[in-house]
Amino acid sequence: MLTEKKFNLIIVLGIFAFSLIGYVINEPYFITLATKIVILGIAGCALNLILGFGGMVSFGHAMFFGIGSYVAAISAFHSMNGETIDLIFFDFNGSSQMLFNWFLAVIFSMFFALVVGSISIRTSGVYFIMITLAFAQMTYYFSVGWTKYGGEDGLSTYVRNDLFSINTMLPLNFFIICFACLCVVWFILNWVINSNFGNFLKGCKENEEKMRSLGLNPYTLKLTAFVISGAITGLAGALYVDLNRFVSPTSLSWQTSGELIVLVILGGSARLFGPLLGAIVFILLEQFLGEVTENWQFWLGVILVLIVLYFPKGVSGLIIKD
Amino acid sequence: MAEKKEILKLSGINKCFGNVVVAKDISLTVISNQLHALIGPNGAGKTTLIKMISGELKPDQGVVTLLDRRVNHLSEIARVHRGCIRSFQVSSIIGSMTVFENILLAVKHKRSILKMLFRKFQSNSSESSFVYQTLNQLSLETLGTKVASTLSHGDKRKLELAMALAMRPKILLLDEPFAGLDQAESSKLIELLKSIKKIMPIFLIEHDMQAVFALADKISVLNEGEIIESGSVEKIRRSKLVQNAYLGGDL
Repeated sequence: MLTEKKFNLIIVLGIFAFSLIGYVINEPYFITLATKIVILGIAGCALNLILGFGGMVSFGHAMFFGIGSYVAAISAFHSMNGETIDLIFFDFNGSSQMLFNWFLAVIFSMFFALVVGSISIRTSGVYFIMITLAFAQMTYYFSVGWTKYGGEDGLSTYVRNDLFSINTMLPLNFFIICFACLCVVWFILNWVINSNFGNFLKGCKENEEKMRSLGLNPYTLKLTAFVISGAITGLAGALYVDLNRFVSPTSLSWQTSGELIVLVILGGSARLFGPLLGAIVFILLEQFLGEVTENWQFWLGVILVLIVLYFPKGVSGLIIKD
Repeated sequence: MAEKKEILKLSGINKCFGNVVVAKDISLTVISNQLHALIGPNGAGKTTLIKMISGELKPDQGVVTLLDRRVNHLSEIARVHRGCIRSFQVSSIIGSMTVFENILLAVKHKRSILKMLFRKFQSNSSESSFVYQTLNQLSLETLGTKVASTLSHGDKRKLELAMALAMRPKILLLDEPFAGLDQAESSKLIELLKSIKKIMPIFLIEHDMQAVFALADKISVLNEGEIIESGSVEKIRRSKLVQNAYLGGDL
């Protein structure tokens, strides 16, 4: 059994080592897998902030992932084809700069999280699940009908955005960029969870009435967590676009929301980095079970049932000592 | 002798849930350094009244005055910030945190979201000593590192009281703090509340008559949403009206 710190370190270094091995043996696919793990891990950890620590089971987090993806992709698309977007006060030419597109993705995701959260957080339990799902499905169907940006077929950006003078098309370079984002996200989430705010949020999960009697507004606490979570998920979405150089309505679909929840359950919701381990297990199962059988998702389902029944703290619960 | 100041005043409080009247023209006053107990049979409307004082429920009519200010329009949270602190009928603590952390939550309650986000959840030296002082007051000093959910029922009740005290209340609203305590624990809590009422006014709802008679400076009796008698312990003991309505016999 490991302490949580050692667990986090081993997981992060393991992912880094996996991509380095891919580089050394000249197998870029390994690096792409590691990058995908990092990006999904970021989204999973962001969801875990509200699910594991705030008790809010969002079944619509794909919305923020997809919004981040679409915002970054649309900006890159316009930069590529030179077509401007007519905004009320100015014309926007798009951008091929990663940092700028991340910024846009985070701002848009935050805004949508604020709007969706301010309505959804008035509900709880199954109603919260359904209302977040409903919002996500609204954005999904909007994207399907948005033919200007590919509609159902999705939108390709062909090349990766730029970051300073780094050649982002090299898989290892792009992995390192995503890995750096993961480290920043880890720092932010770790800070939030260990702050006064994080502890009041945990209190809200257990006993909202008590929090009110302490003079705290659970609504504000939960909404703040929801917005932080949405913003980070949006960043993951923007990174995912750069990884695939493509975005489609699938990124906004309920299946994607379900996958994010699966990462949290697989990895364990009680630990900040549990979903990162969840992403590793999920991607590896997808790859290796996928090679053995076409019905790998059936076996994933079996594994999920076993984890929920016998290891409610997820795979990380087996490794980390309390 | 210190001047007696009105801390809490209820005037003409009325409340109905549909056709059911749960509070009928209730008026009472809690003054400084006084323990005012409210007794009454189950379903008399005691907890509803405490909810109207704390702001969880709004009265249909009447005025709630806290420290000379009308607070009807204020939310539960705003009233907490004015010093109106309550405890619950069922132990209400954060089970996954330690005893120390539970009290620290109460100590740090007056923070804005930004201050909460940018400050680590740890105590500075003055906060630490205040938490330990509160733990000592409640005889919980040896349990500081224990996870709250593992405490005995009596210790959970004490922890809840400790959290309320750590918020430095101007008035303490206690909803059946003696519920489920054994004789020894009740006696300890009586002694504790005797010392606390010297510092702050307490509005106590309780079924344990032994505790009420040992502690109360004033008792009001609620029956079917109406205060049928109010006065000193002796007055309530002797009141035929109370005996008939409340117990159907001698108190």
